Amino acid sequence: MNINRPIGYPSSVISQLTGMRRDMEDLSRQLGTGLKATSYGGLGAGRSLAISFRSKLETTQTYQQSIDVVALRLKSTTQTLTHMQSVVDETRKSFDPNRFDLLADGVTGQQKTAVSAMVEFLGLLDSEVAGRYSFGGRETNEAPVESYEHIMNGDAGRAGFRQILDERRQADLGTGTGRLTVGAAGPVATIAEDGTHPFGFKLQPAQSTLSNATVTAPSGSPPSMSVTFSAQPKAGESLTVTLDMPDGTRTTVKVVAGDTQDPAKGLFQIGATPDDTAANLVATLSDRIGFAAETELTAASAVAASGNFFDTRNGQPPQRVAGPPFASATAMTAGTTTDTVFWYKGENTAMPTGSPRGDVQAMVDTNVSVSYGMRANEEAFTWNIRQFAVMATADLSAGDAAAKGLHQSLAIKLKGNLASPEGKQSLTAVHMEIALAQTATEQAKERHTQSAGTLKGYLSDLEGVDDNEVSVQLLALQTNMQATYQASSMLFKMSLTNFL
Amino acid sequence: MAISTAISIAVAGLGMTQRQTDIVAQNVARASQPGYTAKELSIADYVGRSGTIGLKGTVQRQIDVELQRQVLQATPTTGYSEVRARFAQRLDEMMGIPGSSNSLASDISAFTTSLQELSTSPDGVTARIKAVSGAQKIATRLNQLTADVQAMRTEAEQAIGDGVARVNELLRNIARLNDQVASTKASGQDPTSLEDARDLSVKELATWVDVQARENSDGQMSVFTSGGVTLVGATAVQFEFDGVGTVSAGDTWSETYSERGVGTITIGPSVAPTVDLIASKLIRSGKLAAYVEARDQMLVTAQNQLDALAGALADAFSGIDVASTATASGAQTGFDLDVGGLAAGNPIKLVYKDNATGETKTVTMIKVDDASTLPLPASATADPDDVVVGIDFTGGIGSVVLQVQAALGANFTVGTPGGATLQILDDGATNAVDIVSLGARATLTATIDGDKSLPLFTDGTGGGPYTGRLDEPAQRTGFAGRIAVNTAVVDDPSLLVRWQTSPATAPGDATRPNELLSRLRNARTEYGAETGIVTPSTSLTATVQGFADSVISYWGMVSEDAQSAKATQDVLQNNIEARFGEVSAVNVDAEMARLIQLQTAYSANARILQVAREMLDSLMRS
Repeated sequence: MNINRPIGYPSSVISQLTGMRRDMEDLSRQLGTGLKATSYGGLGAGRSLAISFRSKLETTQTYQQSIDVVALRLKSTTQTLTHMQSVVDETRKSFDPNRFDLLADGVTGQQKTAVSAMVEFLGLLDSEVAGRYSFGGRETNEAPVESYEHIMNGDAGRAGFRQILDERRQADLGTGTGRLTVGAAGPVATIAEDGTHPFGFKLQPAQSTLSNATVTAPSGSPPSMSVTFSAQPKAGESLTVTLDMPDGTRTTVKVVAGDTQDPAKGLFQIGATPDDTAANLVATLSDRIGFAAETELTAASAVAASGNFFDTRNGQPPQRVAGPPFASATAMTAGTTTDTVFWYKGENTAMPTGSPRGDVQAMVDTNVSVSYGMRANEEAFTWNIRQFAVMATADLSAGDAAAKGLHQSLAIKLKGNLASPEGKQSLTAVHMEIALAQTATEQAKERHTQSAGTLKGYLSDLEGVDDNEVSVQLLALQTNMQATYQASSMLFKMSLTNFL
Repeated sequence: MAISTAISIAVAGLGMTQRQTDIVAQNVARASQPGYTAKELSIADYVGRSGTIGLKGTVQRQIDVELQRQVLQATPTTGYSEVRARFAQRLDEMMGIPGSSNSLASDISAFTTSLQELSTSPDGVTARIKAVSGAQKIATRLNQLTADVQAMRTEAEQAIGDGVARVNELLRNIARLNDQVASTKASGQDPTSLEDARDLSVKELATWVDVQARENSDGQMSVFTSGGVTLVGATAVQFEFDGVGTVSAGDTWSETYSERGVGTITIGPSVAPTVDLIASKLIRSGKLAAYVEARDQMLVTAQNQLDALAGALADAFSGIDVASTATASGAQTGFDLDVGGLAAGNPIKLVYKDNATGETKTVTMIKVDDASTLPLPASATADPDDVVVGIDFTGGIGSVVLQVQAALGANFTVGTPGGATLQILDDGATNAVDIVSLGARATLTATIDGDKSLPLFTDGTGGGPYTGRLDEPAQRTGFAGRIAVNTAVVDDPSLLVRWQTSPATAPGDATRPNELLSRLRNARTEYGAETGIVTPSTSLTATVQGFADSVISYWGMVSEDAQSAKATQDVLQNNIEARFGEVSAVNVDAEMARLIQLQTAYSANARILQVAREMLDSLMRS
């Protein structure tokens, strides 16, 4: 249809005016929305750039969201690790071999400290961030460790650490001599292990200053050694028996020849004959070995038991002594979930290459991922828990010399252990790995913030409008339109009709 | 008797002046009537034996036939570009809006984000649900876009129907006006108003179909298409359109009646033989051509893009590469490939080196379950350079071996070492060819214990896997309208994390989310020419996200082109019409000037009569 135009009104003016009107509306829309066009068609040549920038921006935002979550987790983990370190430090300071502060309820103050440290440590391992447990590898939905009560005392037919410890103590002590038999036959004193097994003392070559005595190195299976007197030794000469203990430490038992028989002081009497001397040596040695068994071996046994119970890395079940009877046990056996408490409930598959960090990874940038998985049964955590548990469970209630000796052995041993000995994964190492992940995350975040800013800038250049430019255009258009209206109106009025 | 001649001429002059005044009045009154052309009276002498004895006037239209033809030529293009621009703009707006995240591409990146979140927190219930809803959003968007595209096709189909009805009415109108002009002329009356009406009809007809019109010497207007089919001669032909009510993705235009899912325009049956105007490409421009193009090309391309995207998305998650094992027999080397797990539509790809030319060639063998699907067209794969062979698997491995052997020729030895394993060996010592690789891509169906990945999308809610089946109906056609998130995953979002039962997947295990994320981010699919984004002899290899971005960009470009073509055409049309108007439209000033002239002429004629009377009086009195 043709336009029904007023008489004498040129059609080109109408189309010009409608065109200008449309431009005016578009410009005011641009001013209102800040966008150059309502569809990509209107963007012109910048279109594919705009689309690709938007894609990139969305990818960046994806990473930023991911980073926000990861950063929160890392921060909370760092705090947890810091806290753990302070628990360890404080406990270590409180362990004092020279102070035996037995309280009325049969435990020492240091034991109470160990219990509270362990409870706190376990609580920290159960820490969660927004419902996600951090210390269970990929098993993030469940608390990764059992309660203190279950771990120590067992639960519904499952043996706890106290029981495992006791069984191990029985196995290590045997009849009270640390699985050694000491006997004399004529001028020959013999020290022998009572079988081939991992328990008790293990004989090492002894040092001897005894004259007229032949000391053999341990040999045979089970190993045994002997001291043969060809004549009498002299007073003041000594025999030092070196014994390996189950936790890898070593102790010595020293007996000295003298004029009196005083086992408590380690003296054996030079007898009338070499045969008597051998018998006296055996009596004193037995007594000293028995004391070492009650103190140092018991401490070492506890540490070993804690290793058996707590060290479950790479899916290994807790180890316990095969028995009963335990005192004559010759082997360890794996605990099962029905008879032993598995203190760690998290993911326990073979560890990813390196460390459990690889369990949990998050992409924070193209080709940049941070690893921050952790398992409560990693050495850094288990090692400290073991020290707490050993101190907490020691039976010092007797308060006698043996109890004091045990306390001393334990305090020295555990204090040393808590100081992160070499060759053990330390809390600091874990802390450092997490801190590195944190740094990588922060750096990625910074990169993303920068590139998002740049991309947004580009996008607003491509999609958006310059308010000043649009305002100027609007003004110019307005002037044009007003002029056109004016001119059209003049043209319209200028008709011959008006002059007839 | 010179005085009486003067009197008769003066009387005739008065009559003519009156008629001219009448025409001026008519011109002024109807100046703004559409299609009205300014009229003028052309005056000729009535010649008697004694010379001019009177005047006769004929009404004529002020018209420039050349300009009128130009208007008629420009009009169809204007109609065409207007409709095309409208459709292109709607598609452009459907695919995405700048500054907004409301588009298919944004849905895909939002889904990527949710998978990334899931990868960071595989144990998070919210993260899982978010990922499922992200996938559902994509599926729903694809369904919605398909519905929109098909609704637009239905609209185009209806517009063609309406257009055909209007065209028929106009054709009948023109024929009727032809008759009326003839009878009016025969009775000596003024036919110009009828001619104006007829021109108006022709012009409207030209917005629909590209037509040309020619007025015969007897004043009859014949109308024919620029393709040469006469629409109005002695009588008017009528268009016929067998439109359908609703168009869906599978309905396409075809020359063959049985394969046609949408209507076609024919002339007939009054004209024999029936001419299919679409098949014979006789409608080249105008709104009808634009609607047909929108229905059969523009919107079909849009649907192809959506289907390709949906297919690529489904395959990104459910596609499993089946590796072959190297084997040898004497000097012959080749590969064993287990084809037992393939579904209809899954491809087996053989790459070999032709030692004669040094070229590396690809043969794609696609499993079909219906022999009637064979042979497959080369367009069955996106790769324009490969050889496509359909292999019917219904006859078992023995039949497969024979078919593959027949397809590959004597340079290869095809066999089976047993089971469902296909063995392809080269020609050994002859060394005409060397097999480079043999592989297949199967479709994963198990949601757990199958693979690290997951068949996240299915064909229809609760439907089967998407394998790209080519047997009728081809699965790809309209897949975007059916794609749905696997109901197993919707019912149990933990399947986004749990990928194996033994050992059970830990809740914080990101293996599957990472696999899904990496597949979505990195899986590259080859897109063929049917998507319009690439030229016929090439293909585009892109990620799902990349392709979605390309689609938006493509429609932006098409829309921009269409808009600018329309703008140019509008200017052209306006200019021609303005020039036509300068000749044909009523110029009121000119009419007024003529009125003054006529007034003077009337007075002059009257004066002549008066003088003649005075002269006669003088004669009588003398």
